[in-house]
Amino acid sequence: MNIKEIEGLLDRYYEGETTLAEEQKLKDFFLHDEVPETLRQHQPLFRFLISEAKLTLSEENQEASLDRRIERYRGETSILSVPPGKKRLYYLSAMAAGLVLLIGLVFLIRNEAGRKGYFENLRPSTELAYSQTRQALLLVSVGLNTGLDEVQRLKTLDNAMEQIQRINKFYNYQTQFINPERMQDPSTNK
Amino acid sequence: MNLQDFNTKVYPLKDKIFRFAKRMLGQTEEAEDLVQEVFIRMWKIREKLDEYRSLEALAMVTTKNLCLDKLKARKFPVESFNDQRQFIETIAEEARPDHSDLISGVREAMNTLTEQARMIVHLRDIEGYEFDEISEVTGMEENAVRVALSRARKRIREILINNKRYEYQRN
Repeated sequence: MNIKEIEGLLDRYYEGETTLAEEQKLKDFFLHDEVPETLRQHQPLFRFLISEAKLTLSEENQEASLDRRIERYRGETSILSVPPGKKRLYYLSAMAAGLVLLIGLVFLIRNEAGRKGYFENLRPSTELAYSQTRQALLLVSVGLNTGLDEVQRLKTLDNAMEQIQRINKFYNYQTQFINPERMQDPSTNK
Repeated sequence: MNLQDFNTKVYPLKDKIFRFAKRMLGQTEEAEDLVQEVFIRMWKIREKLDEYRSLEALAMVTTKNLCLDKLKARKFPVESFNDQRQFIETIAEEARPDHSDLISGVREAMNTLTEQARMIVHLRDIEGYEFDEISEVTGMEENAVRVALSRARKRIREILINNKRYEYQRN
């Protein structure tokens, strides 16, 4: 095949005017190793087109794809469908787990509290209760007695106040005699 | 159509569907899954398959539609573990060195094309479809296909020439 013909085919190829047979001619030409320098720039394209047409879907690829599809299908359906027998088993096991947790918690708290002696303090003997109450009442009565003494002292204060009142009266009378006009205005009389 | 017919008439299309899906999606794993998806769709309508003139055209149209759906979903990504994993795989796949820099350059050039242009170049230059067949898969007029093909081929050439020039400048 001469180069002129190939060049002509190439021109028509890029214009989209070649037939399939002519395009096959071009592919065959460029597959051949002895391509002249001037046309070598077109070689990669046609070699690429030939090699791409040989690409096949292998058996392993298809199996791998099928596996992926099954895996996806499983992932989509597993949440939706649980057989009823299994469902009951889930409920039962959940209840059992809850129960075990509760019992465990009760024991744990009891053990911890027992070690610290909480319950001994919370359950006092009657004797202890009596003595403690007595002590408390005693404290109140002693306080009350000292309080009464203070009130007694207040009485002497009251007496003293009475005397002062008398002095006040005397002072009032005195001013009434000496300076009667000052009585008109009680606000200044202080 | 029974299973026997399905195995002899539809199943052999697996490689074409795979190549088409891989061209569109750019990822091997996603393309593999898409092949299964296409087969499931076709199996579901197995009673009506005999009415179709070309099973291959039907398979390719189904592939195209599913790919475009996937690409559209990619533009509005939903954050999920699966997407992130796929994203990482995409990077890994892109980073993998090819046999030849020149040939992988063509792949890159093709990936820069629009989805429609990539589809047309793939069907014509890799699968060897006639224009009327491409028109059937893409839903475009034959003339429009021809114009788009020419434009896409020129675009690839342009990118490859620019790449080469860039390499010369670097050396």
